[in-house]
Amino acid sequence: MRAATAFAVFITIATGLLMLGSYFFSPLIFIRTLFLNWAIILAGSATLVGFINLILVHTDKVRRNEKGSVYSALLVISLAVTFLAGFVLRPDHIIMKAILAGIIIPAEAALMGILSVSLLYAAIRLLRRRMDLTSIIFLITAALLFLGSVTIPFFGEIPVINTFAHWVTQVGALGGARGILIGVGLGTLTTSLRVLFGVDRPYGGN
Amino acid sequence: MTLLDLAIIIFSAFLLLVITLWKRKSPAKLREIPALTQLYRTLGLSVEEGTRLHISLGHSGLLNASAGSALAGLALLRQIAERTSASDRPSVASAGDPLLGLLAQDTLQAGYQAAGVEELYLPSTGRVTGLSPFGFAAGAMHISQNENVSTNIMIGHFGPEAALLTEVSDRENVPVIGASDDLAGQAVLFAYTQDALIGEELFAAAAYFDAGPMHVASLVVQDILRWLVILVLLGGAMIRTAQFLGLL
Amino acid sequence: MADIIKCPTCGSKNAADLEFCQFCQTRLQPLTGPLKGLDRAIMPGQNPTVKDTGQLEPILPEWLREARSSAKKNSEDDVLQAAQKSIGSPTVSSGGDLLAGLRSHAQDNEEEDTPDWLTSITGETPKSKKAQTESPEVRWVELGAKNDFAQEDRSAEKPSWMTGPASSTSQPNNKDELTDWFQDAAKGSNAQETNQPFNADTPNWLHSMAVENDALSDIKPLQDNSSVAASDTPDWLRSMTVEDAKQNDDPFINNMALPTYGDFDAGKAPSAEQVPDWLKGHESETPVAASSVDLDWMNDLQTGEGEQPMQGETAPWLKADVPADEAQTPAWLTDMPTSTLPESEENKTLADPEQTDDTFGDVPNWLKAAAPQSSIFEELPAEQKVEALKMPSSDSPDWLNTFNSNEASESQKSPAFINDAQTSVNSDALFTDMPDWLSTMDNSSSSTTPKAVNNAENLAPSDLPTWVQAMRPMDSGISQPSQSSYSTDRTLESRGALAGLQGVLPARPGFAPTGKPKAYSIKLQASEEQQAQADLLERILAAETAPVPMTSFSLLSSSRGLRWLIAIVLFSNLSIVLLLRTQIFPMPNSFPIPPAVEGSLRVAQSIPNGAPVLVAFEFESARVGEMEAAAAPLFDQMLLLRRPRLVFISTRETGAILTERFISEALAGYNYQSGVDYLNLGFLPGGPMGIYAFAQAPQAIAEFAFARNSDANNLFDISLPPAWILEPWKSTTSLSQFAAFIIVTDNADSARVWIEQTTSTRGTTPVVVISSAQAAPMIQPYYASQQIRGLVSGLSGAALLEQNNAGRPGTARAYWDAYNMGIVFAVLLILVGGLWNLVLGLRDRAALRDAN
Repeated sequence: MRAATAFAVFITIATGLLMLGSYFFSPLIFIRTLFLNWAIILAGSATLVGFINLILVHTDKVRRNEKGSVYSALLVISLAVTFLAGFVLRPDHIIMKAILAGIIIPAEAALMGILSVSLLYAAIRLLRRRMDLTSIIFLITAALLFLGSVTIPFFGEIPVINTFAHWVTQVGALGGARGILIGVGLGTLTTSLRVLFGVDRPYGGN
Repeated sequence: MTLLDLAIIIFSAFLLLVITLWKRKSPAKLREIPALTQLYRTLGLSVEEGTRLHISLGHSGLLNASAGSALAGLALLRQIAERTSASDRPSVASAGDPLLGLLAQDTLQAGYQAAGVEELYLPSTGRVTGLSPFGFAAGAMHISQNENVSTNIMIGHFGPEAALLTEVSDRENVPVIGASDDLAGQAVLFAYTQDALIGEELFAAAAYFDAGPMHVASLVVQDILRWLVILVLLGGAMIRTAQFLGLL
Repeated sequence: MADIIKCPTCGSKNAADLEFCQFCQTRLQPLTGPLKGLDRAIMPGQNPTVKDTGQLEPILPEWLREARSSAKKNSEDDVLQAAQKSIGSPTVSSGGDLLAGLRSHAQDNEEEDTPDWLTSITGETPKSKKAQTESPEVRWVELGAKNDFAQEDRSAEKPSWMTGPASSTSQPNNKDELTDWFQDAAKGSNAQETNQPFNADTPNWLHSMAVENDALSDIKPLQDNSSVAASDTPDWLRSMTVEDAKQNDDPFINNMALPTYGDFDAGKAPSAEQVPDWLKGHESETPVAASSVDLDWMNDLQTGEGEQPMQGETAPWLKADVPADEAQTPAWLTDMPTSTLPESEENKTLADPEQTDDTFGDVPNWLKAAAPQSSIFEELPAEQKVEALKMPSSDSPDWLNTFNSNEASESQKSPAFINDAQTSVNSDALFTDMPDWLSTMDNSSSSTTPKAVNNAENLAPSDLPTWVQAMRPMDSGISQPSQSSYSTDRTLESRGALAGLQGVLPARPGFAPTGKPKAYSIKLQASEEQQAQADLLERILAAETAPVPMTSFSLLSSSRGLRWLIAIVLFSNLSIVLLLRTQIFPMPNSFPIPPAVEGSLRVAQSIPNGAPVLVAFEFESARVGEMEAAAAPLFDQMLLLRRPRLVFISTRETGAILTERFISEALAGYNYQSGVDYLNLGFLPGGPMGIYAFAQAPQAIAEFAFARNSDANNLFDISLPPAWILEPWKSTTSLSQFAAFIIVTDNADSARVWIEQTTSTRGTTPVVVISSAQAAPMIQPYYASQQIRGLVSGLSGAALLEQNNAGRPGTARAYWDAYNMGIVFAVLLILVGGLWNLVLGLRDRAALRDAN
């Protein structure tokens, strides 16, 4: 194991144990605050790193004239313009509001619209892709929950279905979701312990 | 946090260490998860076909609650990178969080190092495709469409925007293997993929790729803790019912 | 007892005055005078000396001397008969080489390096053996009893695991042996034209053997002269080569790698193991006077046993001068007598060859027939015969002793003979593809003794010795009509390889039916364990060679049309409803109002005037439509009633700009000013850690407002104005001092983090969550546990709030019809499309089941 990796493992384990201990031992609170501030700074800087990574990847695509490099060029130009405008003008400037209202929100809203079509498409084709009881229950539940949140003309809410949807949401789905989340939490716990033990080293090293 | 929380953590760590030592001597017996079986085959097919694997790690940050899924995705990425490093087209990892993108690059490099082909590592194979969920999905869609990807592996934190990635994969006839810790993401992946990883199966992926005895041990610890949670929940419900009935 | 001598060869008792054994014709009395010691075997390393072969005649066996004497009698007649060259008899008399055919068998081994069973399990189709159209008749004459053949039940006796897919293709070729007959005839005629060493008195079998062997020895290096499987090679012959070589375990390789005659010439004397004893003896003796034809059998013996030049290369011994070969011819063969074969006897039914086989065990039939001690003349007990065969005799030729010993060792293991390797193709190649070296050989041999060919028609069948008749097949396997067709065809061939031959081709077109000669077993002497291992090997190889289908994911083909249909149906309806601003669908009017919504209203109404309110904007710009519509009623009521001082913060990068949008559009009517009526703290990095830190010290973590510094005139002044300089924010140093905490989020995790990370610091500050419909179920437990005071869930919750806010601001009402219409269409598409795909899926499944 290289020295750099060993050092990184040491830093990781030490930081993790100190942060964990600070939650239980009050004398270590100042360490936690210190680390929190560092983490916030690093997280903010990481945003800039991600920004640079995005530029590098797409400029590389443009340089190699890969497929779709036109879009990459467009992305880089748009990113640079928006960054500079936001940096100089601030978000409350009318130009930034125009960029937001004219580009960012419509683009993401369009993605949301595509998402709705995609989800409908997936639901329709689900029984073709996986024909089993689970899929049938999945579709019926989705349809009932949909109907439970709407009103019908001249009648209002659909009583039975509304009650059923409420029950499913608050009892059935919520119970299952809680169970899944507990499992996810346990998985997160063991994964974090592996990182603390230095077994998982996402920061590199063999 | 209370001492109970500390006790749970210490108990879990103790179990993890003990079971790791035990698993070093006895081979692991893992139940078959179809999605992971497909994933295992996908690696070989990708190398043989000279195509690329796209591993999406989601948009989870490392400083929030869904960091566990990001770490699990990185652990799997490490195994995939090691196994596909000799491929004509190296695997590409995409992330929706800057820190996760950096770690993805480090992880890929570590995989290449482990395979002894560090010189083949390209930093551009670890990418940050967007800083918002939909931005990340849009950038990842671009990879699936234009970079000769044979399989999309989505493992990490995905919300409903996962449907955009699966949509592109469906259009390109590219198989999708998905796992998310988000309930909405799980619902989307369930509808779009043949075999989705549900719940904590996300955290079992690396163990199925021979990542080491501690990965297997962590699965055992999860099972033990899960049984404890079940017992506590049932016990609490019984006590509450007894109190309601005036028995206690 | 003194007047009885025991034969050293056969062990039988003879009178003391007999010079030769009356049973096996082995010399019993030692040679005296100048011949003393001549009958002694030549020892390895002993140099041959020039001898007059005439002096060696006394050491010859009696039967050979008789043959020689009878040949002398008819020598003049032979010359005349050879001039006539009338050849057409089916029983062609050919110069006899006692070992004719040996080479052919040996050569056959070269081609079949790989056994069929191994070839089949490797998945390769074995080389198809060239069609054999030889007549089994000739084979019987040449090789002995028909029982020695293995073709008939070869596949049947082959274990199932050995039977490969290709075995069936090669099987018919092996069975067809008609061409042997023609081939031998052709060779015989050819040899008669070139080599004329024999007179008419030479027995036919000797003629045929010799001529055939001449031809075969000449074409030995040809590549395609073998067609019989290596397994058909008699073991005794294989053992001869193996014993000579002893350096390679593979008998086929041995045959190919044996020392050539040139090695002898060049002084590279092979080791004693490589040269059979009998050959060494002859080499050492080196008789002087011998005809070239006599040399042929020697050549064949050498090549057949110890020499097998590689294909394509000229055998060194063939390049050697013929006189050198002649010098090595044994003297006892120089004047080998020939006998006249009566034609009448030739066609007679002779003794049963099987009986002969039984008598001699595994001794080659041709050798049994050639041997003078044949039981045809005098029957001996079987044990005695076997013993006689096994015992070496000083009087018998060494080569014969060698065979005896070899055969004795192999007698219990394998059948004596295999089918002939010669094919019609090979016989053609014999004359058409003759290499240079072979041409040289032909010239030399033909120029040596241009004698006339024996004409078989002049031979009366009745002249055949009975022992020769005994080795002729009793049942040729050819049906009578076929035989008659051959016999009645007297056409004299005038061209090609069969030029000069008569009656060798079938009279009618088509393939003459062949009788199936009895086969000997080639079944491997393998134990069950060995067979199991072979079976395992076969399965392993089959598994490796079998193509493994690369099963891929069962992808459902994408349906672009369905996507377009969904998009058109959905968007067209929603657009129409939005444009028409219809109000068909009634707003929800739940009564009583849901507690979570009611709690939100209470919080909004309980805020003091102008009190600071913290707002976390935690949603993506993609959901701005839903989130703004959900949040607008509550903020409208709150601002309308209390006009609080709002503080916005977000852990999303786009949160700050979305805040500005919300203030400027949804709350535009209230004219809130940044820094005065609201603070936009912008992006809070660090996720949960940032939230925790902010909860601990809000003014320290978010020190600056995300707005333009009003004092800065320079556009490139990037300094940020301080946020907490005005009241009431200046005095708000902790979360507990805020009048309310509103979380606007589309993600349950965000709500959870804000709720959990601020629990210890917010005190009694009420928390209201405005969430998307998707995240609401997961946030509901926080309301149930009273960690939050109110929950507004999506557009439905906003509609309820609007109902209780006098319909203000009306955003929910504007979207409500489109929202309902979209959901109804979605449900219809899911149900109809789902049913349709269910039917299609069932149909596909049934089709798949039928296909399977």
